[in-house]
Amino acid sequence: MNRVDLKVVLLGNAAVGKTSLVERFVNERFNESLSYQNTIGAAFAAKQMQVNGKRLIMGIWDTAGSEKYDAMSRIYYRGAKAAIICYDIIKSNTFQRAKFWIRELRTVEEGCKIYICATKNDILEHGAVPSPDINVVETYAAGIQAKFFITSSKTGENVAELFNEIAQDFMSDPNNVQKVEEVIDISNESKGTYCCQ
Amino acid sequence: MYSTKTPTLRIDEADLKCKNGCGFYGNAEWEGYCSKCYREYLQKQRSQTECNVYGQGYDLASSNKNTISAHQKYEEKKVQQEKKYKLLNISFRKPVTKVQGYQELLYELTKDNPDLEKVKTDNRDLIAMIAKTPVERDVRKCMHSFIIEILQNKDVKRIEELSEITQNFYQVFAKRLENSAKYADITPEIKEKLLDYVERYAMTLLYRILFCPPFTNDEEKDLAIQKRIRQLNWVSGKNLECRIHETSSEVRELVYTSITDLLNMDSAKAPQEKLSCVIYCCRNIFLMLQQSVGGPASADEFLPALIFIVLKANPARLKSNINFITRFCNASRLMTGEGGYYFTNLCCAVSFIENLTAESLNMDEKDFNAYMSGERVPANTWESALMICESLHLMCEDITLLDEMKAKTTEIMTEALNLKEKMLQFQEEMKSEVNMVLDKTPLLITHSQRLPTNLDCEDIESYQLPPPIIPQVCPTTINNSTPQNDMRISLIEDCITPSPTFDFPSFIGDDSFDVSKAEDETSLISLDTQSDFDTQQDKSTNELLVSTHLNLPCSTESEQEDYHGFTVQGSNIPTIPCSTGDLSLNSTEMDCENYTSYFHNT
Ligand SMILES: Nc1nc2c(ncn2[C@@H]2O[C@H](COP(=O)(O)OP(=O)(O)O)[C@@H](O)[C@H]2O)c(=O)[nH]1
Ligand SMILES: [Mg+2]
Repeated sequence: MNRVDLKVVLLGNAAVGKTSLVERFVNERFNESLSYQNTIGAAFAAKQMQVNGKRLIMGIWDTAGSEKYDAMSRIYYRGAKAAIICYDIIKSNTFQRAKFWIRELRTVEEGCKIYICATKNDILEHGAVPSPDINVVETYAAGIQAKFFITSSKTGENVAELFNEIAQDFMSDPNNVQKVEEVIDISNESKGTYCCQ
Repeated sequence: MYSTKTPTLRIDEADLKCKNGCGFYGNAEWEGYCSKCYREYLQKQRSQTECNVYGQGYDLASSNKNTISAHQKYEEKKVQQEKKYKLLNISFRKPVTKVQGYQELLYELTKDNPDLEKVKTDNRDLIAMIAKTPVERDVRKCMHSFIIEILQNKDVKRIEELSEITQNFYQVFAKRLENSAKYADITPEIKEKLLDYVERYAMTLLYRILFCPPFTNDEEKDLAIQKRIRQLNWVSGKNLECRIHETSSEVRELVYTSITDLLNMDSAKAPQEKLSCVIYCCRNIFLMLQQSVGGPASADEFLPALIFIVLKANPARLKSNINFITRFCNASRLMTGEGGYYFTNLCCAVSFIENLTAESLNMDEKDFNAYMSGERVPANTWESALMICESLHLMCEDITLLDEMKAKTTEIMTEALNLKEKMLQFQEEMKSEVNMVLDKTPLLITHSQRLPTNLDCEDIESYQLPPPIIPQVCPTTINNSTPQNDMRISLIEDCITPSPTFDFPSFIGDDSFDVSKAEDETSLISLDTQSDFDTQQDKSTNELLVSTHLNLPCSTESEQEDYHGFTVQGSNIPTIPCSTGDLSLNSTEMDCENYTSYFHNT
């Protein structure tokens, strides 16, 4: 049985790059030719991770970004230990939506840690200007005790760091550690990944 | 894995309907009635048993010989009481059920439960592995105490509390597996399996108690969502912005398969079995989307497609099933894994359907209302799409049928042509053969033969008469009808066929008598009269002739010229039987046989 210890939900507007983020993290690829992709779907992914000599399996839940499903997002993040709230680094409207989800999460799912993620950092190289300003977001994140990451699924920048941070935070909570089984043999360890299988 | 999952037949809706035929869904737990009819049915039963109480008591007191049946009756009554309590606890709740109550119920639930047997056979290996070990005893003990707890509390606690008890049990049991010394030498995989088995077994056993219990409003919700989905039957894939290529046959098959998977959820018992139905359904949706989109689908495509499938499947007792899974499926499984993800999406889909507005379909309020009220029926509803699918299905079937028929027809045509050729050939062969035979054996009259017609005539001498004379005109024979001649003619006449035996010496010159008419039955009579005329030598007029020969019709003047006359010799031409060569006949016969045998062979 595929035991999953940690549920992580991805929230954010459509086309901000949620699916790309999961793809990058789980399969270490970006917008690759479809023929190479052997997954039938990328809505749910489970990844085995290693933190402080302990093994845990992270289940990553992608969500439909369309606003008409906003009402149901509560059902999605029920029981989630972490939420990655994505916004497009140059689109302020997506950040406004991000703030909406943060408010929701704060009221509904208190035990859920929030990670704000500005996506598509690589496009800044081509002269694009972040909106809102990075400082504004940083201040906002600090205000709500959320962590803030600037990532690029294209280059892979900060993606692994983001998920590792989530795993670390999860393990640092003594309530969670008990549930995670100890790694019996580290040498036998392999970075197993499964996705929708 | 996906391909091995074959779609099973959908349960006939009639089987799910209330026995009373009120149109609502029935439930095996309520003996096939819907909750309302079952309540009425119980009421009736109860009043009946109350009437029988005296009689039954009397029976028990008077005769102990029938103890077994009495015990059965007692049991039945017990069950009824159980059910009665279950129903009555809406209004008032008994604080504690009688001690024997749940024991009886447990016995009843365990006895003859095919689903339970199936769970056991599915886990045969596991059971065999732990058989007669402390592990087995402990598992049994834990499970039993949990089941008893549920049975004891089923009438006094709310469904949420029962769910809590269950979830608590799962957690405690999982911890026990981890920590207890009894399970120390068992591998984690076996522990997982044990956990799964315990959940499966307990839930299958308690299914009747915990699934859609009468003291919840699950059933009303089922009906509400069902009605809602029925109302929304006009919603198309386009409305939901989901990309399903309905015209592709593979996609269509997958749509059907995922619908079937979802429908199977109701017939599954244990929560994880129901959950796996959802998983199968969703995996098929992903496959379908992959076919439609041409690549791996993401959550953005998946949720609309799932909504679409739920709308088109309209699964029976949807809410009850969802609630049962939510309440009694191991929460750790439900919250995190793949099954959990799909199940959450299903819940989202249901929630979306419940709260669906014109806005969520990107539609005009007016249009939406028109569709909802049934005023307008869009061309592109799933019903019509389904119908098109159905028709396409039929058309595909028909096309294959036609193809088959075409192949058969061409086969028949070629065979027919073959046959025609053969027939022509046969005809030619026959012709040439017959000609050959004719050439080989020309028609030869081997010997003449007179056919004796007068059976009374036993005169052998007639055969010894000289061979026939070659016909020649000899006027003397006609005119000189001497007595000897007459005698002789009559002698010959007796031996040959009567028809050409006319002798009209007196009329030859007159041409006044139509002999051709003498072929009918009256010929003999006419002969007699003629002989009268003969003797009288009376050259009477035609009128007289007609009047005397009443039986001779059409002896009219016009025919007089046609008469060419008969000669005695002419009338005496014997029948000549002819026979052709026997050899050739045989050969043709053989050919015939060959031909028929050819037909038998083909
Ligand atoms: N340049 C760039 N493009 C990205 C990045 N992440 C996503 N995209 C593009 O953004 C679009 C939407 O991405 P997707 O993952 O489907 O967004 P989702 O709707 O949130 O799942 C796609 O065309 C991606 O190629 C990134 O890090 N850099
Ligand atoms: Mg996406």
